[in-house]
This record gives sequence, structure tokens and C-alpha cells, in this order.
Amino acid sequence: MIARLTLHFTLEDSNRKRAEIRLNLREDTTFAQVGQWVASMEAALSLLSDCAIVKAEAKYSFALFGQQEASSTSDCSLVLYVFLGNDTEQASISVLSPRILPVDVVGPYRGFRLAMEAFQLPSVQSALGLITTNSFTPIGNSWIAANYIGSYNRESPS
Amino acid sequence: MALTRDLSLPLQASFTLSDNNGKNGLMGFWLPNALTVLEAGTYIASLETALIGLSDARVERATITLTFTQDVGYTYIAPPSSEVERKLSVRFLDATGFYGFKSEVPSPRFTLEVDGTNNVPITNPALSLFADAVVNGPIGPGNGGQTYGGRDLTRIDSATVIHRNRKA
Repeated sequence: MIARLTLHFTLEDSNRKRAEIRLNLREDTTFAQVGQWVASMEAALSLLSDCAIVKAEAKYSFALFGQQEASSTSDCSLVLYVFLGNDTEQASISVLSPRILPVDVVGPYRGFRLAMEAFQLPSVQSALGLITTNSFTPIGNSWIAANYIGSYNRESPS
Repeated sequence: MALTRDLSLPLQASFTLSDNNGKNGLMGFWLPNALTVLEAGTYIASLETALIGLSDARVERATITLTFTQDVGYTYIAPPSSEVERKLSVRFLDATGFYGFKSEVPSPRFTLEVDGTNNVPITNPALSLFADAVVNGPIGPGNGGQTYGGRDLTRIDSATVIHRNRKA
């Protein structure tokens, strides 16, 4: 559910200082209509301001209603590196406050080994599958999930 | 001059997660660029499910950002007198006249000002064009800008030149 749609314009003066002007739009405005909005506002702003109009951004905000667990903490994260097959493009995904997973590992390289154990779990595999099929690399390619390597830095639960 | 969206680049989507101490973290994803808003919503829902499976923080909100940048040949140079701290504060109202929205245009052109006052007449042609763009938008009446509470803006109320770093 889209809770808010805002249109932001960034303007720049001769000292390269920037300022933003913002406008709220109807949530049912389509991506194509946003393009029309940008064109008409740019034309109007250029007559009103002597700044350079640097860029515009339309931000669609979706309100989500997830629950948080009492144990959640942003002090730890699960970092997933998703490599492409030919290794020319790679990106990482860092998940804040990973769930305490039903695996435990002791000894050297604990974080690395814990992450590797975690990756074998069906629930984690399922979540990773959703991410790789519903998102793309930063330049718009499909993920070729050749490998996952992670670091899991939550302290072991007592 | 034309702000355009590079359709060769994917859409940016970011999720805000909050932990039990109220601290937030952001996660970024990229989605296909040819999606409609509705289709993008289904991608958001799938990624939300994945994040709930991986994280015990609250998946609080998601934002899709469409970015428009200037063409390569854009050469406009702001004049030396331009200054973003100087603003044209434009107030718009809804049909009831009780709810409004203030928009601050950086570095308004000096030609807008009338000697001896900071008020800009709302009949000024450049201001009228801006007001029409905000109130009616490119699609027409009823599809224009809104207040923070989602009320349609129906008219311009006032326009005043202000300066952030100077006392009046």
C-alpha cells in the first residue's frame, strides 16, 4: 500500500549550494504521470528561480506493518555477497538484525562458519531465493547466484 | 533543459528496518525499470517476506525512487547573485481554506520582487504558472498537489520572499 508520494527537486546556486523543493502528489499517480509532473514543474521552476535545476526524484513510500522482536538490534548484521557467474559484477546485501538461527558454531572463524551454516537452512535459502528473483544487480542484470559468502556478527546467544 | 529518467537503469527500492531500541537501518535493492506502480508493489511484498524471514527487526517501510537527471548537454550556469538561502515562500490552500502547504522556491528571480515589499503579487505571470503547475498538475484539476494530510490544493494564498540567514 502506497502511503505517500513526494516529488523532490534539487536546485543549485552559483556557489554550488543546494536546496530542495518538495511537493506531495496523489498516491495513485503512475510512473508515466510522474514524468509529466517533472516536465511541467521544471518549466515552472525555471521561470521562478535563477538556480540550476539539478535533478528530480519521485519517492513512493509503502507503509509496511511488520513486527519487531524484543531481541532485535541493529548492532549486528548478516552480510550476503552475491557474485555473478563471471565475477565481473558483484554486490552485497546486508540484513540488519538477523534472526537467531537454530545453529551454533564454536571455535575459530566462528562468524564465517556460522554464516555458512545459516546458508544451508531452508528458511534462509527460501528468503535468498525471493531476493534474487525479485531484485536485480545495480546495473539491471539478473542475479546469477554463483556463491554466497557471509559474515554473521551477532554474539552467540547465552 | 530537460530532466529525464534513464530507463536503462533499474529502479531503486530501499527498505527501512527498525530494531527494538528504535534504531533504523536501510537496505537497498534494484527492481526492473519497466514496472508499473502496481507491479512494483508485488516486488516490494515479496522482498518484505524475504526480509521478515531473515531479520527480526521490524520491516517498517519501503521506498521506490525514480530519479530524473539533466541531459548531457545541459549547460545552464546560475548567475553569481543566485543564493539558495533566499527563498520564495509560497503558500497554497485546500478548498476549506483551513489546510495548506508551504513550498519554498530557492533563489527567486529578482524580477518577481516589487519595490519596498517582500510580497510577490500572486498575479505575477511566472508565479501564476508555478501555482497552476502545483494546483492542477499536468493531468488537470483534482490531480494536483496535496497537503501532507492528503487534501487537494486548490489555490495559491500568498508568496513572500524570505532569507534564512537574515533578519527582516
